[in-house]
Order: sequence, then structure tokens, then C-alpha cells
Amino acid sequence: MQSPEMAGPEGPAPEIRFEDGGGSPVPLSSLWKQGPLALVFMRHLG
Amino acid sequence: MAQLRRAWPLFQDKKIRVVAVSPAEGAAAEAVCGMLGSPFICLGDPAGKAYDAFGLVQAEVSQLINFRTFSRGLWAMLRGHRHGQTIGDRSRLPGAFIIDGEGTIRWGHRGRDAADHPTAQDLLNAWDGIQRA
Repeated sequence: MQSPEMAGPEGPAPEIRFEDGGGSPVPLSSLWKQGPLALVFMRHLG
Repeated sequence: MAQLRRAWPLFQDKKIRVVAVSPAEGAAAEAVCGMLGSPFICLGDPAGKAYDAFGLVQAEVSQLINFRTFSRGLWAMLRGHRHGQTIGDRSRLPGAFIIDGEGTIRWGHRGRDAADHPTAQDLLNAWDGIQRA
């Protein structure tokens, strides 16, 4: 397997919002303020 | 997603929360995660703004269909995984990032093609490396 490209620190996380199951916005900052997180972007659902 | 689910206890041991983002409505993301029994947070990004902000672009055809994506797909099928109905922007490339409690991106990986995503172990190793630094 090709090993993933490792990246060093990239600076501050962008100010973005996701959408939860009820359609409400979830700021990224509200997630990392609770502690470290692994943010995994899936290619698609299904 | 299955390997993240299997590795969930290891993430818990390291006090890392896993947030899975899909290029779909939040309701669809949550529904699929619930169906698969995923213990982590599942959120949607239907407009693709978060994907854009993290540099995860829409793939070229050659990044969607090539030897690696085909062989990975075949291997997954042989292990019993089945591709369900696709929901969301199927052209988005995958990626993963570790963000610390101060809001700094400490590690990242941007998929070079549709099959190029780090394993759960890659994420755990990256976190260990951050802790040692």
C-alpha cells in the first residue's frame, strides 16, 4: 500500500461549519474546543 | 468507515474524538452512520465548503478510475464490503486531519485519488508522533 503523505503543522483550522443530522450548523471550532480530534473526510456516503 | 469503527477503542484510549464528514446532507450522514453502527460523530458538508477549505478538490476522471481505485474496490468486495447507493458529491477526494485542542491543524493527508485515504492506524501513529514532538 502506498503510504499516505504526511504533513506537518499547517496552522489554524479554518472557520467552517458542518451540518448535523437535524440540519443545524456545527462550527468546527466547537469540535476542537472539546479536545483533539481526527477529522475524516469521506469520499461519499454509500 | 469500518476500520475506523474497529479502531474506535484505540482512539478512545488516546482521547481523540473522531468526526466523519461526508459531502452530503447532515441527515443522510447521520442516517448512514447510524445504520453502520458508527460510534463517532457524523456530519454533512452538502455544499462542499469544508472540503474546499481543507483543499480536498473534486477529482479528475483519472483520480476516480485507475488501477489503484479498481484494485482497492475489488479487494473490499472480496472481503464482503458492498457499495450501496451513493449519496453526495461522488467526485470529492478523501482526506484526514488531526486538529489539536487549540485549533491548530497538526497533521493532514489529502487523497491523491479516490482510494487514497489514511488508515485508522496512520491517524493513531500521527497522533503519537505529535505527542512525541
